[in-house]
Formats: sequence, structure tokens, C-alpha cells
Amino acid sequence: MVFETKETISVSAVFENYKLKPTAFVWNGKKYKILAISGFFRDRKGKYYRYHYAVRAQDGNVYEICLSTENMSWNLIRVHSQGDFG
Amino acid sequence: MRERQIIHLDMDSYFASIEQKDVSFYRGKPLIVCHTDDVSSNRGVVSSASYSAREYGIRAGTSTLEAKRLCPKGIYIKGNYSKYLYNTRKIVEICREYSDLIEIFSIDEIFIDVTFTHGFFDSSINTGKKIQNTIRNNLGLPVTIGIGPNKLVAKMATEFKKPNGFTVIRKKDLPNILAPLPVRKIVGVGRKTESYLNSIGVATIEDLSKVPVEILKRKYGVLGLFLHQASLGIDHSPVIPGENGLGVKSFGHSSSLGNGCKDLSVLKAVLLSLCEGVTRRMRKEGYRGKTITLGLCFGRMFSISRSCSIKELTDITNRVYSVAARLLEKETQVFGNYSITLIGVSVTGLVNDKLEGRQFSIFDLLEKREIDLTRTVDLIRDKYGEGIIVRGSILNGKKQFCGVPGAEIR
Repeated sequence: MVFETKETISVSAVFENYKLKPTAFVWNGKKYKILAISGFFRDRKGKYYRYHYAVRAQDGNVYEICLSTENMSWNLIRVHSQGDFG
Repeated sequence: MRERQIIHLDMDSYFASIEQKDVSFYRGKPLIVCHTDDVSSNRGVVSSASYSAREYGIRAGTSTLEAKRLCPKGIYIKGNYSKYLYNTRKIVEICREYSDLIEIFSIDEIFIDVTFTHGFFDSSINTGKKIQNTIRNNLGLPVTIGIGPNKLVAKMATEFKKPNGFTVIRKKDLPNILAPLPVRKIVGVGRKTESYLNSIGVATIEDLSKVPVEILKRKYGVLGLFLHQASLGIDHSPVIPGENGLGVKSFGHSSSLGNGCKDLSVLKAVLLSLCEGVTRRMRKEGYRGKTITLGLCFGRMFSISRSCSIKELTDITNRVYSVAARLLEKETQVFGNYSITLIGVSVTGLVNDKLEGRQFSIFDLLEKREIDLTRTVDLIRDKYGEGIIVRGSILNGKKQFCGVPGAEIR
């Protein structure tokens, strides 16, 4: 099941091998530990870059999160939950 | 002369594969990537289907409505084209390690001429294998490779085995491999050409090679010569480096109108939005054009296309729109009783100002206000993004268009 949204979230991240690596995020007051980054891409909105990550959290779901350099905020874009497919 | 070595790279169900790489529990499932604003609706078309989804008869181009009927339990997601373009750029970066002659044929197909570079990697086969492995290991994406003495044969080679295929056709093996294949396997031979060829007793490529070239030329003109040469595995077309360089012949956008629309004001709003998209891309890439073509589909009954050439080259939205709108008005007078289900506009007769230099004309002075306004709006969009500024008439049209069942406007 896919759930689309656009909510500002808090993300903790580290720099590793010159790359930004999100490690956990808080959504709706709940903390999600990131187990793996399964996808990444970069695009632009106007002159500002946006960094998109597909991350697998502890609950098994995959979350698409995005860092916008326009206001240096993180957003949750999509949630892929295992639902019927798991 | 050195024998040409061309590698054709064809990404396997590209968009679906990228989504399956990102979301591991989609792997092995019928995943359908749709081109639509809202995936929960039945609007739009399928842009990519995973191999599991293809077992249900779903292909790129199938309407979302039809796909949901064929596979109600499939996973339907909205395509993210920025993501797919990013991956294509990464694939091109990998290919550049092996040759500088790279032609980006489409978002999921690339030609690489390794005639002069394959020696550095032992052979063209090794080069192809290295490219395939690097894409698989670095990006996690499946890719099929075809190798041949020219682009036509290399592309045909990729069709032999998919996904993760690897096929080499050598020049000496060409007659044996091509001869028994149906004519439809030749790139550019569609349903109509195939049925004509079948009607004159031509079923295989070998049959086609025996048809005198004059007969094919009389029927198809330049395409006739191409068909004759293709049947012999001959293709001299070069690999043209770059994605936006010499290869661009037209800029076009189209929009599906779901169950159809007859309202001229709504159609004009959609047309304006399409013209805006086309000319914005032209300006970004430094092109201007002379010939404006309007395409219309009336249900599944018939489609028409009408063109008009203007005296001066243009990349201005209103100029293209005024010509296209005039063509639309004319056609709706003739076919007013029919609902239009698809509308498209394209601009051809292009000149690249970056390559050929821009010649200023009297129209640049007459349309100065329009040009200045367009340039300013472009600057605002460059800075803040495409959706930041929209024409009121398009917004109004969008609002009305939402009432059309099964409609999609981009």
C-alpha cells in the first residue's frame, strides 16, 4: 500500500564518506530508526537542490524522505507499507 | 576498415525496476508505474510494468483503467520522472568510462560506439559485460545488452533475450540469424507495414531481402531503401553523442482527455498548457521552430494531425498557441460532433540558436513586450520551480477539466 503525504519531519543524519546519511526520523511523535537506505536521487526545484532518500525503517516499511535546500527542511513524501504484499 | 562495434543498452522495465530496487517488498510482484496525477483514480496510462505485471497482459501504454481490470490486485504507483532521469544520468556516467561516443536514444536506451575503445577492455563483449555488471552492482538495476556491427543489429540483438540478456550478433552470422525472423522484428516496421508486406507474401526478413528495392522505394519512398538495407543487416547511421544535441527534431506534448471533451474553451485551456510546456522546453534548450502541428484523437474511431508553418522562427508560447488554437477551431467546426480524447501539439522545423547563432528579426521588436515577459517568467521558474507561476486561463481550464470523467491534465 502506498500513502502519499507531504509532512515536515525531524531527521537525524550523519556525514559518512562525504555523503549525508539519515539515521532516524520522527513522524507523528514516533521515532523510526533507519536500517538501510535503498534509494537516492537528487533533483531541483528552481535553483534549490532537493535530496531524496528511500529508507527502510525498523517497522519494515519504506519511507521516502526529502531534504530541501530551499529552507533546509526534511519532508516525508511517501510511505510504502508491506500491507497485503508482505 | 575496422569493423564497427556498437553496444545497445536497454533497461529492463526501467521505471518499475527502479521502484523495486527502492522498495524490496515490491520485487517479484505485479508493480505498475502510472503516468497520472492521482493513482487512486483510473486516469492516465501505464508507463512501466514489472515482468510479473506483464504476465497479466499489461504493457507501457495500457490505460490505467484497463490495467486495473486486468490485474486488480497489482501495486499501482505514480511515476517519479526526476528519479528515473537521475538514474539515467548515472548509467550514462558508467557508459562514459568505456567510450565518448554515447547516444541517449531514450530515457531507457543507450547506444555506445566502442569501435575504437573496446581494445582497452579486451573486446566489445568484455566491455558490454563490464557495463552490465557495473550497472547491476552500482545501481542495482537489470539491463539487457545487445552487440552488433551497427545500431540496427545491436538493437535487434537486445530483443532476443530479456531481462538481463546479453546477445552478440557478428557480421558473419547476420544472414543466418536475420533470415528466419519475422519482418516485424525490424525496428520501424509497425503493424501496417507488416500487414502490407505479409499481403505481398513477405513474412520473414529473408523474404524481404528478395523483394527488389525499386518496389519497396515505390511503395515507401526513403523508408523502402531503409527496409531493403535493414533486411540485409546494413545500417550506416552513426552514434550521435549527446541527448539534446543534433538528434532533436521536434518538441511535443500531448494530454489524454479521458472519456473525451467537446467544450472548445476547455480544449483551448489544455492546448495553452501544452504549448506552454513545449515552448518552455524549447527555450531551455535554445531551440526555435517554424512548423506547429496539432494532433487530435476522436475516441478510438480516428485521429488527425494538422500542421501550419509560420514565416518566422519562434519559441514564444503565445505565438505557438495562436497557430495551434486556430487549427483547433477549424477542426472543431468540422468534427464538432465528436468528443476529443487526446490532444497534442508539437513544433518542428527547428533551429538551435546555441549551435547556429540567433538571427534577430523584425518580430523580435514587434513582440518585445511578449519576449521580455516570457524571459522574466522563465527566470522566476528557474529560481522557484515550474509551478510557481501559472496563467490564470490555464488554472481556470484545469478547474473545468476536473469535471471531465477520466481526464488528465498536466
